[in-house]
Amino acid sequence: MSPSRRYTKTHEWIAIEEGRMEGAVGITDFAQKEVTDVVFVELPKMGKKIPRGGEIAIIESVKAAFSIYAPAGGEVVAVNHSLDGDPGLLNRDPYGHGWICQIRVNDPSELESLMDDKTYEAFLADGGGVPGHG
Amino acid sequence: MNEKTTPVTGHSGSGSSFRPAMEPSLWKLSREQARGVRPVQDVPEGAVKDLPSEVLRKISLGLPEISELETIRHFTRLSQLSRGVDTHFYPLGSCTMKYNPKVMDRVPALPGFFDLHPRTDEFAMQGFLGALWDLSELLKEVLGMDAVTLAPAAGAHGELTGILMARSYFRAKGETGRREILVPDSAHGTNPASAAMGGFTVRSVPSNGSGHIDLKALEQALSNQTAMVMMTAPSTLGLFEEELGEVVRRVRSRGALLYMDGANMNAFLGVLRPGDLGFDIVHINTHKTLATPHGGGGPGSGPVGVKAFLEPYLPNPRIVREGKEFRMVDRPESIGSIRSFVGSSGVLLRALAYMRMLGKHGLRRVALYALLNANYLKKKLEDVLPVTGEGLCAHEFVLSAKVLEKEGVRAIDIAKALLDEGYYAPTVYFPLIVPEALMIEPTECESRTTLDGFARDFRRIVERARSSPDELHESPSKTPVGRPDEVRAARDPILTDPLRPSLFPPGNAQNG
Amino acid sequence: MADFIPHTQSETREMLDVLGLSSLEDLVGAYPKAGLFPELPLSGGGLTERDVLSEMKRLASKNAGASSVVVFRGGGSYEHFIPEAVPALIGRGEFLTSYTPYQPEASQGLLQAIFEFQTAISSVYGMDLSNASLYDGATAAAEACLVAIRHTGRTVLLVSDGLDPSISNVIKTYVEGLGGRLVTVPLVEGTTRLSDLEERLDGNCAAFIGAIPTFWGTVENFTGFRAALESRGALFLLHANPHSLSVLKSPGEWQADLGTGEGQPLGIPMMAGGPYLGLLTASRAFMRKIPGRLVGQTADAEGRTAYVLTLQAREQHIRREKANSNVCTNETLLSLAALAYLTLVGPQGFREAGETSHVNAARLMKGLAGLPGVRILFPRTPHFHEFVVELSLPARDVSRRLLEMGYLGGLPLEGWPVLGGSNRMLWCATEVRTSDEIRGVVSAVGEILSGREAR
Repeated sequence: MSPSRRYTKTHEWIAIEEGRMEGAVGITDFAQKEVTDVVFVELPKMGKKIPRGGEIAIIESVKAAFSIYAPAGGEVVAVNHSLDGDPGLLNRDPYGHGWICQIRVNDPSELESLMDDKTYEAFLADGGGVPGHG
Repeated sequence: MNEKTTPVTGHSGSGSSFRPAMEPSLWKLSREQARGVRPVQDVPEGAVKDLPSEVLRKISLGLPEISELETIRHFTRLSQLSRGVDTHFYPLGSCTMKYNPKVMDRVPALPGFFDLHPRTDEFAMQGFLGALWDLSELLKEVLGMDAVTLAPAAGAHGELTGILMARSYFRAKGETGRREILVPDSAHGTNPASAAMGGFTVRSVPSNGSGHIDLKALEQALSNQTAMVMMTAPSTLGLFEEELGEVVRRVRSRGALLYMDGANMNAFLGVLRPGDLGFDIVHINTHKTLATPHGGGGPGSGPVGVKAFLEPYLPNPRIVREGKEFRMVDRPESIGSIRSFVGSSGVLLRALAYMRMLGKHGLRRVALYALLNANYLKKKLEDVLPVTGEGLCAHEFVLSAKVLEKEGVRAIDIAKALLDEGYYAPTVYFPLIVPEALMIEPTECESRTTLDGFARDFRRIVERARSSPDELHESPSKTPVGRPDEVRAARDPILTDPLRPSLFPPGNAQNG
Repeated sequence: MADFIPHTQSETREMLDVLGLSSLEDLVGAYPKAGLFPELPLSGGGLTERDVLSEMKRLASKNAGASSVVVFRGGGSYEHFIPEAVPALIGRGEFLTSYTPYQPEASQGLLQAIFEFQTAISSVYGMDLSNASLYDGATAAAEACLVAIRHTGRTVLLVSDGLDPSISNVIKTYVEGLGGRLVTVPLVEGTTRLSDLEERLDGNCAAFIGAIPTFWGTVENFTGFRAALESRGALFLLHANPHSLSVLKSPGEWQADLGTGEGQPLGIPMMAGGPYLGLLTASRAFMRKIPGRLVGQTADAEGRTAYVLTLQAREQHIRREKANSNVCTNETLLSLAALAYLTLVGPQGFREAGETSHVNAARLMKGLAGLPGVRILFPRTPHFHEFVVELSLPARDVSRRLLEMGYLGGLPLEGWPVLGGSNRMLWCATEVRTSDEIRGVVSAVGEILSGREAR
């Protein structure tokens, strides 16, 4: 796990380098295992403005669809279109090539309330629940 | 000489020796210029030469070309690769897969019904309008309601109708702040989906451990924003709410409406009436209880009964009687029309004939024997897998296969093994509140012999799940195919036959 | 007693014993006590098969079905030739008495048939794909409008006055929950003009919906519609009678985003209005946005071709209030009828049937036009197999007299919007009408209008 990632209780991550406002968003390894084989990702449109906790993408497995929520409010500045042709990237490399989009965060202080690696691991160990079924 | 019996991929791997052959697709069978039935004798030359070229079809029709006998064989073989109530015990919970009497197939096929144009002048279709009138009068009595619409084409369509009526009702009362519909977490998925289509916000109300609605949670969820509470009775666990009277009282006291999903009518037909229980709106699924076979997923119909104060909002057109004449009229306060024409007539006529044929005692026996069979089968299986809920069930019950987790066996594996034993499968993974749910509804039409055989085979499968779980993972092995690769199907879907030639002429991929 | 319950008395007794109950009535012990075992207005013992059939025959015989009158009426439901093999095939118990194919291994035949239906219907509509059916044509059009509202996030629907007004009414009911609003695009000489569309088209428009042919029988030229709509980010929806698509340019050729229709003309009896067959086709871009079931082709672990319900994750039983639609029951059995019909008549027969309908309607129009007291509306606009006439007498009276003479004549348009009027009638002739029948009805109308008919 990269040290700059922060996590939500709904199993999204956001990775922002120190001093920058933009970062990638994805789902955690735990989440991709719960979802099982991803068959489709409905990606957000470029430029979409989204509040913290707003639905930013939908990922579908064979049996279910899951809403992915924005870890922080902001604007979509990049979208990972390789997921269109290969949604399985989300399963194979959730923290790397399986990123969903990049957002420019409105208020970096929103990130402070998110979990870091250690807290998230503890959260999982504590039975941190499953991703919200849509 | 021909390849017609070869599967499309031409591949029959190991372990498939028991499997019947698949049928080639129509486009595989197609032979250029072959013809089947001729709809007309001959067509004059230049039949459409009066139409301007720019509105004429330029692309191919893409339809297969085969003879009548080849068509008959194709569809007959396809039917043999499927199972119905006519061929197998079909204990699919919440779907009421019972025997639908063959005599009812004759009813909508009678001349004067099947060949009746829906826009015939009213005076020339009095027998038909009278039949629908009779049916709605009868359903009013059976449901304990003051008015009934026959328009909805299915249960979910009936739900949408009821929800739109609630919307109109509160708008007329000036209570537009009622934007929420409360739905128990055990409800059919159509309930929340219909509520959302009707423009309402959906709030889920949790059930308690025994599957009944949690009164405290209900009380907390109720507010002056609540338009309606939707309940399934008996619930999807096959249980009547213990404290139904209390639920009704509390919903009433907050000024909200009470909706009953009557999909499980087979459990209360002739025994009790939703209107007497305090419900304001109820829909039923005639294809489940009143003699229309499911047809692979439809058609059905979903009549809705309401209390008098909601009658003005029923969908258009309404069938009314004026003296001895039956007429169709539109009412101004109605939610509008929800479909073409007056209703799924062919389905509705069956429902009328079925209720007349069974009579008062017969209808009651339907429900009582549905209960007898469900409780008997539950008794035979309750030491095999844990049952949800205590005491007597209604027409169905839910088992949980969660206890087989350590063997790595899931509900779906039990379902697939049942297919190999010569049954259709129970409903799996529903209701969502029971882990590894297997929902079983035997209906009144199955004999004790069938139930005993099913219980014996079910028991043996669960024993195998414990002794040799891997076998179950590989089931079914006697069906035409093994478990299809659903991930592949959903990632890059093939939704039309790749063997169909392109519709567009070469070098002209698009026009228009 | 006829109740289709197989239990013998002793079996019933023994089963109750297993449950420790003394009577069947004890089974409802956990039921609410209010009003158990109500009185119903039905005879207690019920009826035999013979009795119930003769009762239903009595009701059926009071209706002017096509076996007793010659039908020249359409307006959304049509008498067409139905090969005898169609009811024989869909009546097979394995199809008739099966459920939605949730267990694919035990339902391969049904799944393959639905897959073939999707292929045939998408071919006829010239579109990339079709779902497995919806309730009827009107609800299919309404669901397409909901797709447009969700896809664009906009609420205004431009509806051509050529669309069946009763379908517009259903759309209106359906879209209200999502805040949808209908704006009509008028007809000029029976067709929608591009300039009238463009005038109404703005950034609030979710879609335009037009008809092939119009409810009034005219055939539209939609050249330029796609480009105009696309430039404003609105969808192009076309509602088409599939029977007409054997001859007329298909929704796919007009580059529609979604094509809908009523499948009743494809081997399904008029049946007093239902059950019918809602058709919904789409370009691939909308594959994951459309409501209803879809069957896909895949393979099992041994590599055998297999069919399965797919893209179910967006359906109501999983996604609940976030689902694409609440549709659960569809019209599978009737989709099998449509597939069997299209296969039996084949492309050539399908085209010949469509051409013959057109020829018969043109003959009928010519015959009626020659009568004093009859005016054809928009005779220079192309028509398919229906057309509107204005009569010198009230249309209801003419219809009543025609029925007495053995004809279900044109549809009286009293109370209808757009081209409606008390002296107007919408006439139709399909491929099943003969030259004698056409001559017969023309002379009957002539007699009625001249006040000469025998009473």
